[in-house]
Amino acid sequence: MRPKILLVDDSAIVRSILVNTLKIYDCEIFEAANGVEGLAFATKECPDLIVLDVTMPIMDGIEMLCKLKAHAVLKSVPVLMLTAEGGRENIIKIAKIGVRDYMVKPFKEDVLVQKIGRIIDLKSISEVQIKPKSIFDPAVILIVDDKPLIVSQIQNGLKHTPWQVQSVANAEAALDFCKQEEVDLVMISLSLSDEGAFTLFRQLRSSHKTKYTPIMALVVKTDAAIQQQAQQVGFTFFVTKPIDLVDLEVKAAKAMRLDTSQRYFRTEPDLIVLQLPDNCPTTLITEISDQLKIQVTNAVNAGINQAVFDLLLVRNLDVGHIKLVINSMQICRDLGFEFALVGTGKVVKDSQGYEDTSTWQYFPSVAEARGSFKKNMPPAATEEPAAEPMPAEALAEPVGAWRTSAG
Amino acid sequence: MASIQAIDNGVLDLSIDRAVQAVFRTMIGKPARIVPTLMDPSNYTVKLEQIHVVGTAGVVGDLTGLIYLYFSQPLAEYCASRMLGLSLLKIASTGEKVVNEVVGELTNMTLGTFKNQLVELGLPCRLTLPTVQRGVYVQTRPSRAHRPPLLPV
Repeated sequence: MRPKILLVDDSAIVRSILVNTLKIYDCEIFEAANGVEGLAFATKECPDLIVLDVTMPIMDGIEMLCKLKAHAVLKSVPVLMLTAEGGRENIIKIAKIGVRDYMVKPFKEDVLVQKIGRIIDLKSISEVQIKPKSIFDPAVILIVDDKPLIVSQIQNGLKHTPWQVQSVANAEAALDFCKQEEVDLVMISLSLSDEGAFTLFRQLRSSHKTKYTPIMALVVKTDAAIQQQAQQVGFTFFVTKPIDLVDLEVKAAKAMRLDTSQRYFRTEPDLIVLQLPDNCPTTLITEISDQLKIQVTNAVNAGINQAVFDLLLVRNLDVGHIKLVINSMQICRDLGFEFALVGTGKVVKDSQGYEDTSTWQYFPSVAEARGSFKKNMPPAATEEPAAEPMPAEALAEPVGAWRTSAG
Repeated sequence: MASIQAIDNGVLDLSIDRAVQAVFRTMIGKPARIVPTLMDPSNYTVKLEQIHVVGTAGVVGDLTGLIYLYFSQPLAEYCASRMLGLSLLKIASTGEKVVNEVVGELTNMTLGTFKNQLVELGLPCRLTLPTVQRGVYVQTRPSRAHRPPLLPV
């Protein structure tokens, strides 16, 4: 796991220098401009090191340091103080509160790296081969919940994934499991008795083995107070009950930092294809839209400037799909991409039922959509595909006929 | 007040010189030298006829005062370029904000280093937050102080 470094300094210039200095190392960097922001990041990310400025507005470094030392989980996070105000008295004052080291500004970048290297294992990026895990890679998920129905609901909902979903009913069993197995994600029910979820969270975070393991909370949708408490403690994501399984899967993948792009995108020699899933909740729209920007940018770099939005898996077109397609169209327009839609007869019909989508025209297959792009023409500026979309009479044809014609 | 009287201008000059040297050597990677005066001695006024970026910060305590660091626009951009590792062209295209922030930070560091020396000399004091101004005609009219402003080059 990459070490996390939190930089807390009100000077954007100093933060920029620190980021530039550390960017050649394999670490995750978070930035905060004052103590309040710093504490929020520290709670959420539980960093391995905090580089902390002293003089800052809103909450200064000394106050933040005191709050860190009073925090059950964060008190053990090493702090490297960075200050323009040296002097023996200042240093002694800071040391008494508890810092691992300090540096007085102005500072040499290499000295800073040396000091950081003494506190955390800092490896240069070239030393580390980073291959992000994909959505198709196996992973172990541990559910900590004493309600068998919830457990089986999740296990069934994730059956189609390569993930191994295990369950235990209490915190003790969870800790035993985590000692013996490499766990990629823990889902804890916040309804465990005696605030067991929070105790377990702290125990997992204080263990070397699970310090970085993402932890999600399972919580009843209406229980806002406990959600807030869990957020403050630092749970990575929340899944509300009743469980939306698509939402759960998206959040689980995000928590495990899996590359999900292969599920929705494929790049062909001359175009990229975005395949929309049948169910399209808000979390998925955001995720796919974010990925689309990256995919389209990569495609532009590779000399591709055509995209197909494939809705063949969509049984019923809903607002989620429409939002996603509109977002995608905008991204393509911004980058000068030509695009075309592919969909079933049912989708075409659904499309005509919405004001925003009534003019959308679909091709029955990716091959036909590809054929519609005029070669060597400047990118189209309209939403409609370039040539001969699906004929109106095709609306009467069964969906299967179009699928057969897909190339 | 007794301690202030005990320190002479030579010591202050040396402390300021050391602070400027240390900050510019460390952060910019270049030596700096102090230009003794830009002040009109008849009215203690500094008048500049080209765009300058001026960083100001003060110390408050046993010794109280302000220090002004005057950067010509090209010098300020050069410092920003060195500190951020960006080309001068890139710095010029990012606008005034980045350059101002760099001048503010250099001022803060210089004052911090100066203040640390004062503390070692038995003059405890605190720093004020730096401010940055820029303009073609920058005039500084000290009310009582008799210290010349500094221009690192």
